[in-house]
Amino acid sequence: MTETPLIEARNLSKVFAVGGGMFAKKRFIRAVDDVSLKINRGENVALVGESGCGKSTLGRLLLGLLYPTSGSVLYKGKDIWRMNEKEFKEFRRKAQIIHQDPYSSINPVRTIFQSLAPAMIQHKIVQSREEAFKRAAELLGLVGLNPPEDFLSRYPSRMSGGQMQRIILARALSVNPDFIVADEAVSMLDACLRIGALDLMLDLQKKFQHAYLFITHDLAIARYFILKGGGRIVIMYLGKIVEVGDGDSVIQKPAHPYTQALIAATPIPDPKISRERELPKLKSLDVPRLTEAIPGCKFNTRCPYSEKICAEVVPEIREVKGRLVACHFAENFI
Amino acid sequence: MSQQKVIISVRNLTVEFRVPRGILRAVDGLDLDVYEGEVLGLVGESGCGKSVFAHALLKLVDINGYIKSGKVIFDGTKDVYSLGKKELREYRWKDVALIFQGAFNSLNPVMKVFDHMVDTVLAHEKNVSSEEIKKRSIELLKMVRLDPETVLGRYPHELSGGMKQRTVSAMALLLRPKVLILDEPTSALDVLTQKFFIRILKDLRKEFGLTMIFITHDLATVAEIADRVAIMYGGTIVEIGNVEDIFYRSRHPYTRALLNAIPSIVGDISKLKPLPGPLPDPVNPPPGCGFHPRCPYAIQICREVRPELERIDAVSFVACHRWRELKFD
Repeated sequence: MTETPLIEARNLSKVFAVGGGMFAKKRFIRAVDDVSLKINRGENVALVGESGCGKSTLGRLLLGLLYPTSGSVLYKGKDIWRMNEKEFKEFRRKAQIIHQDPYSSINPVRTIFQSLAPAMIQHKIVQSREEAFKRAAELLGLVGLNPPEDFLSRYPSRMSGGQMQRIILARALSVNPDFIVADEAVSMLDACLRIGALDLMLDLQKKFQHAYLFITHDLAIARYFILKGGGRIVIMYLGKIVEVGDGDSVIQKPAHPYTQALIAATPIPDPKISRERELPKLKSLDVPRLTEAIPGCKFNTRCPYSEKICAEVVPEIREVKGRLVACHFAENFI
Repeated sequence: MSQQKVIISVRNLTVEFRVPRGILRAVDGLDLDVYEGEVLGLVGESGCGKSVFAHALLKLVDINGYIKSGKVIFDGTKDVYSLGKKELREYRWKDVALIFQGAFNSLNPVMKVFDHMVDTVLAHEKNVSSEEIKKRSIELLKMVRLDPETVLGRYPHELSGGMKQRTVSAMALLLRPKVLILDEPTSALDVLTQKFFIRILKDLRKEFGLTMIFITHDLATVAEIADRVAIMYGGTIVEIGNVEDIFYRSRHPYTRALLNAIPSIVGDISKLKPLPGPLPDPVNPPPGCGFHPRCPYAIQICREVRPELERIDAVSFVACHRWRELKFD
């Protein structure tokens, strides 16, 4: 474990202010709350949580797209917000993102080539327009869009969601990144097309050796990605990382009560199994408001096992039998 | 489920749209019987025509579309497409209610929940007192596990997504419909919220003896709630059967391919296989069986002749030329 991580979050926090108009009181959302996470070269990390848990904010912080309220982001051991301009530009090239909606992340009035070329030219990956065309065609071939020349002259409106997702992947790869944040990258696709897209992402990783932070709300998708590509699953709840485990261990044997609830709620495409499962045990159905400050463990208001200490002391994330868990009573569950 | 009374019967339904490229056939000669009291899961990829079909059950078609042919018979006698304006209004919401996709985001932002309830009732029934509406609302909100006292006085933005979805469900039941159609009701909800919402739907069904048509692309949710499952492809139904038959003994290659393409939190992932190829173009559908360009078992007849929906047993149908001979796994 002496290797310098590719990217590292150290006690990272991001607070957003909301409201604060003429009449409304300003409120604060702790979207990411004292999070530490390391991702090594070529590694896969699947970040799973419900909407509003801060998983996208964490992804954007790691890419340097948001400035942290406190804590730091290190790229190859260097604080990205203390880099000089040249280093930061290089970091920006090395760290790329794939968004959920491919249509809204590509300019609809440009052809695919016109969307792919600027980044390559800007970062001096290619020297000329001709070279850019050649490389763009090569990339489209790699993501399975054939014949590539045909797609390069098309406009986004003439492509299906699945094809657009491939374009976005090709664009991210066009600048030789070593870290890609895939934020709900397959959620827009039909259920039956998703694993095809995941397979493609992992195939390309074998060739290019980049690391993935794969953000999703869907445990089944995260499991497929991590079992197939290797790596870890990280579970997030209200700005905090609550559990981290290798492979699909957090699904096989969840240690945190939140992970347990999430698994119990995830539907299983098998009628016999799904009908025998019990409802997750929760004290409260609804997620607390994001602006609400919860003392102690953030899950204590919904946790069926919470005790006095949970409402008072924030549980540190610690190692319990090879798992990282942020729960005062993790030993009881693992 | 034993009496098997048909509540909605659809015959040879075809819905088309005029689009710049030509005529888009969204629903193509669809036949379906929905039994009273059942939960029917209607599953298909996006673009297969499932939402258009749901709307057509209520004679709701977009301005550039039209119902080209076919019949929808409600409760054995009511021919939906020949109803007068007034009767149609009654049929919608009182006989059959539809919660369309994203309905919970279309509540009026400047109206409180209670005003929505009043509007809904008064649009369909006259001479109902405010007290009566309140009484019904409270009862229904309790059923969907919301606290009526707080929810009724709130504006939509003060409710979470899950609370809004439950509010809309309560609204849909205000006029005691016999059939409730839900179009992708859970896809915008978080996993935990989804789970509880499904539990609530099961309770509602028990309480009111509701018939439900549950439309989704998510087979996992269907596995949990449906009694019967209909698989839709290219504007038509390619297989129907009891939920266990569909999941364990499906006969159509498309159903198999769908089931093999969805990941789960249990089981062996090495058995999963992505579904190849795109959906057929609804403006220029392929001749013969709509699935043949993607089907690994397609032979000459599949490319030429469209397969009929054939009866296999009392409740199972399949539209495939080769269902008798095909052995999967």
